[in-house]
Amino acid sequence: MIWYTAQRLLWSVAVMTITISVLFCLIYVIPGDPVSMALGPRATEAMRSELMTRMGLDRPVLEQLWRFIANAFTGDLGTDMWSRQPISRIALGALPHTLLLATLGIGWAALIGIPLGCWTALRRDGLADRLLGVFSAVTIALPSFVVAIYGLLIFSVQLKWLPALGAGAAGDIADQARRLILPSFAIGLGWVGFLARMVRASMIEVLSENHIRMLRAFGLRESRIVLRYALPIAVIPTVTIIGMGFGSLLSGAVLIEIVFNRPGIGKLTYDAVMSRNFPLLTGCVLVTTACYVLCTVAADLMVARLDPRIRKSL
Amino acid sequence: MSAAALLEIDHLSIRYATPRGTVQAVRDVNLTIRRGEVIGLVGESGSGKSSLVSSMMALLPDNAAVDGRLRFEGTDIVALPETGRRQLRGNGIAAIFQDPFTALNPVVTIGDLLVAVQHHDHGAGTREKRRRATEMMARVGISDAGRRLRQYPFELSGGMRQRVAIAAALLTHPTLLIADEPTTALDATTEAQIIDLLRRNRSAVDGAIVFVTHHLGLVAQLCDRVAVMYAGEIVETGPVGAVFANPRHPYTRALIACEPALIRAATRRLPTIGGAPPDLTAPPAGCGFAPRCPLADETCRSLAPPVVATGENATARCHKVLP
Ligand SMILES: Nc1ncnc2c1ncn2[C@@H]1O[C@H](COP(=O)(O)OP(=O)(O)O)[C@@H](O)[C@H]1O
Ligand SMILES: [Mg+2]
Repeated sequence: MIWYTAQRLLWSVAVMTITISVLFCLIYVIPGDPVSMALGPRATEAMRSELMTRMGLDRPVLEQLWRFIANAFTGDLGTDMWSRQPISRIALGALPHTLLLATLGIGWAALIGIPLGCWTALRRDGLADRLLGVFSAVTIALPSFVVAIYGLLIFSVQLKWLPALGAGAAGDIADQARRLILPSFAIGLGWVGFLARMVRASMIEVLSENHIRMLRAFGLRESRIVLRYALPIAVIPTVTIIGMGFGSLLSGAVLIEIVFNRPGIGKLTYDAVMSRNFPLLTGCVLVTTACYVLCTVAADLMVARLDPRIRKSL
Repeated sequence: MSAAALLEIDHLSIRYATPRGTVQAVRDVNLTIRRGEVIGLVGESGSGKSSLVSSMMALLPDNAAVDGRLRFEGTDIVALPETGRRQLRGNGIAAIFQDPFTALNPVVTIGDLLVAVQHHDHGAGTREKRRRATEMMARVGISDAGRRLRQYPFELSGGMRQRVAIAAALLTHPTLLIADEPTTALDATTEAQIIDLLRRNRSAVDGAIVFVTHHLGLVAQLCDRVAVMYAGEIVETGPVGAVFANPRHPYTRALIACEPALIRAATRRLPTIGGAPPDLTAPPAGCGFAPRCPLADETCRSLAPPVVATGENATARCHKVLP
């Protein structure tokens, strides 16, 4: 297991190195060099070459690439030209908002979706199962920002139950929590049906397997069979999907963050694009990719914990 | 009925609802299983052996419908509600299945599984149940029990897994042990070891063993009595020695002729029974074996054969019982 963890972490480092290199290349592809971008059209040649030296742009490309990678791994993503703040600090400051949102969004979906999947697997073709079929078809197809907009219209504008925009006042936990309700609802809604359908399908498959029949032949209680012996197998594919889904939500939450005008890494990425702030954009992409990679690794490790066949074969 | 009867099967029929129609997998089976006997249930694949023994452990799939009676120690399993059936499974009735490679739960250790199967015993704690499991491992021929108990099924060979399955069944002290083709998935050497193990543990089962196989040779090694199934019916029953020495049903005779271990005369060619069993969605009015039977005549084809007593505790379901 330790070796496996090390192996997965090594894999993440490799993925990150490639990502960073690609981003580095993109800087060259983007029209306009970083120096003119930073200094504007009226800069003198002396100012330009002075900044070139300061930024290390006069060095050979490979050396620049190496330094870029080394800096990124040590957390130095450069300085934002506008705010004069380290990009890493800006990005990492926005990240917790998105992490919290994604955790809550997928969290409530998993808490409802997984038991719902088990339930409908046991009561196949029952009323709940049929309703789930319709519910999941509708909610999976519904884009989360549409849910967000209607949620806003109904619960904030019409009923005035929930505050509409922003992340809430700093330090006011209750206010911040209230402002998380609608966005995490919008993010999770599609996931409820999706996870339920997934767990249902794999639960039905597992319950038809021989080892479950063997346990039934020994008279074990059906609820115990489902929870102790079938669920750990049935959730394995779901864990991988949740890991990947969570990872991609970090950038994918952007529409929700825009609709609710919430700070977050998605919103930051969006703003960086709109203001053509490429160093900041690079930083955001790096942070999101790192999180995504970590999420998949966490999911892999979790799967290995659940499945002794994987754990022990390592 | 006799006091020694453990399980009385009375006009039992099992039908499966399928998209192709109703499959009559078991048709009007009568059989009494007595304490202390090992009964072999043989027949080609598809003849209804698994269906019959599944009904004995009250574990038929949802699409099955059952008619008739199955009295286990006097209680009719067919009429029992699910909670009552669950009380019998693993607590009086235990089973060993065909495929040891898929029969053990992959995410629990052997030790946890062997503790879990003793769940009906509320008197003993986990520690005691684990001690019993360790002891039982030695009895089914698994050395180094301490380490094995901490392992997962996928770390064990097929033969080892089947030993674990046997240990699980024996740990529940069954009065009826059902083994549904327990060696079919194993190689010949392992098969011999498992058969030997079952034979040595016969006395551990304080009741009866039902041994299902499509392999007559194994019945000769292990069983006291044999019941031959064909197309959902029991066509012949009797003591193993008598049936093998002098089969009274043409199907049994054909089966014995096809069994390599029992062939006496030198031959270069393994005989087979020509033809195929009838479609069980529409079983024939007459004898199901008639189209493949060399002795069949018009009566056989049109009239259901009678059950003929052929000796003490021996029957044949045939119009043309052999002398
Ligand atoms: N769950 C089921 N649904 C429909 N048909 C089944 C089911 N189980 C068994 N059958 C059919 O019932 C017949 C008897 O099968 P089975 O009892 O498994 O025989 P055996 O164990 O002798 O091979 C076969 O024709 C088989 O296809
Ligand atoms: Mg079978």
